Amino acid sequence: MQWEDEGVILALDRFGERQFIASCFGREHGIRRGLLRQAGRHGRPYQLADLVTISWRARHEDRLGTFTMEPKRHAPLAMFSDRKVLAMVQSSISLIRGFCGESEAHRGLFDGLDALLLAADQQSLWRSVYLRFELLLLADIGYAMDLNKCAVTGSYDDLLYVSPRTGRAVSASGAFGYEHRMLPLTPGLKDPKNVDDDAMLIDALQVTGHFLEKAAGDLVAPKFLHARNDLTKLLHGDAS
Amino acid sequence: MQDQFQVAGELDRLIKILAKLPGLGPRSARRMALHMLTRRQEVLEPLLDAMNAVSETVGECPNCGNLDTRQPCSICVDERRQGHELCVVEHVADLWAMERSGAFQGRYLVLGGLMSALEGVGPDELRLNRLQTLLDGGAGELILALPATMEGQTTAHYIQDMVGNHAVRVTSLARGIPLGGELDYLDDGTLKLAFGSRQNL
Repeated sequence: MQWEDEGVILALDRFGERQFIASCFGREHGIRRGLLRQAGRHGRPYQLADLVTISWRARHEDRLGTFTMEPKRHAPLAMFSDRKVLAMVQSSISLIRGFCGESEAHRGLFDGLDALLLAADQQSLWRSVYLRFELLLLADIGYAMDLNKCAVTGSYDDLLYVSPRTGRAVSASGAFGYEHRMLPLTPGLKDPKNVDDDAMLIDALQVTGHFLEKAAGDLVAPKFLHARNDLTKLLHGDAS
Repeated sequence: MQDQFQVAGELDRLIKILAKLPGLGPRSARRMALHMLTRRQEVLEPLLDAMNAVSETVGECPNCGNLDTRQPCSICVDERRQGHELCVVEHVADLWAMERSGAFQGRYLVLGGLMSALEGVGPDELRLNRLQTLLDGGAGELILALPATMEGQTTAHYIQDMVGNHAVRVTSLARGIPLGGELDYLDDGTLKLAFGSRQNL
């Protein structure tokens, strides 16, 4: 069988001299692995976070299969000059590798990752796009956050908190007496399109991090959160 | 159905070991084994002698991680080399590539890998303690000859942090158009990097 798709390279492990086992996050096919036979002139033919067109072929659906790839867009160059962008790209790849199962299509999340890699080279944009990526990921793994309306009173005003259990917004009056148990509804979460600085992003990531850890708790080895922890440490270092 | 031909036990073992070497598969390993056995005196015995000698004498240099018959290695003990320039590479193969080029006349440190947040490879798994010692010993320039990959850049950032307050100049190799490279065949990323680091003529 054979299919074609576009995807982002999540892993590329050498297999022998001129072959690689590649793992790609495809728009239509989710995470898929395959043997990549082409060897570049300078070692690896592609690198992580490259956007490629994929042709996958195997005798059966459940076999490893072989990839043929064509480059579409290079990984963000800002990774080589801005360590926060590097950490952000690593975190996003690591979260997808950890939370998305093989062969599960996550079209919205793919578009979020694509937007993130495109925005990574723009200093003013990447924080917003990264936060929106985490919100998309949470929605895809069953922790969608509903931050427009109070879960207790139904009010659209005075929203100050997020319920740590449901991920829904809670107003000041709705949280009365339980404020200490609530997560803050930060300015970044209220308006993810306008996260301009590290401090805003850190505050929002503390809330999304609560739900990511909750989701990771169900998994055997949540090692994939390490890259995200590196990102938050780096943001804290510069924000303090 | 006729049984497939199987070579004898020890020979089969040799072929399986050879097939695991870089660049070889079972077919080329069989050819190689047959070639050695049909030319015992010219090929097999000298090869055995050479491999025994290498196995007994070659070791990892305690200073830089290079492989050599001398400990410390011939590069580390060479007094003509500039001791204040230190080139950091990932593997011994990279050190040898640098030596082939003759571009560098200082000393080296082979890290033995790269840090990776994705694969969980941390600084403890690399030869970074040795780097700390060399920094404390007064290295003047640290040249990071690491691959232009996510892992290479993660390691470079970590080393920059290690350097901290030491009065050490940290540089990295230039990135751009390879010698003989035609623009039409270069990937967009390399072209952008090359454009960003253009030079006055």
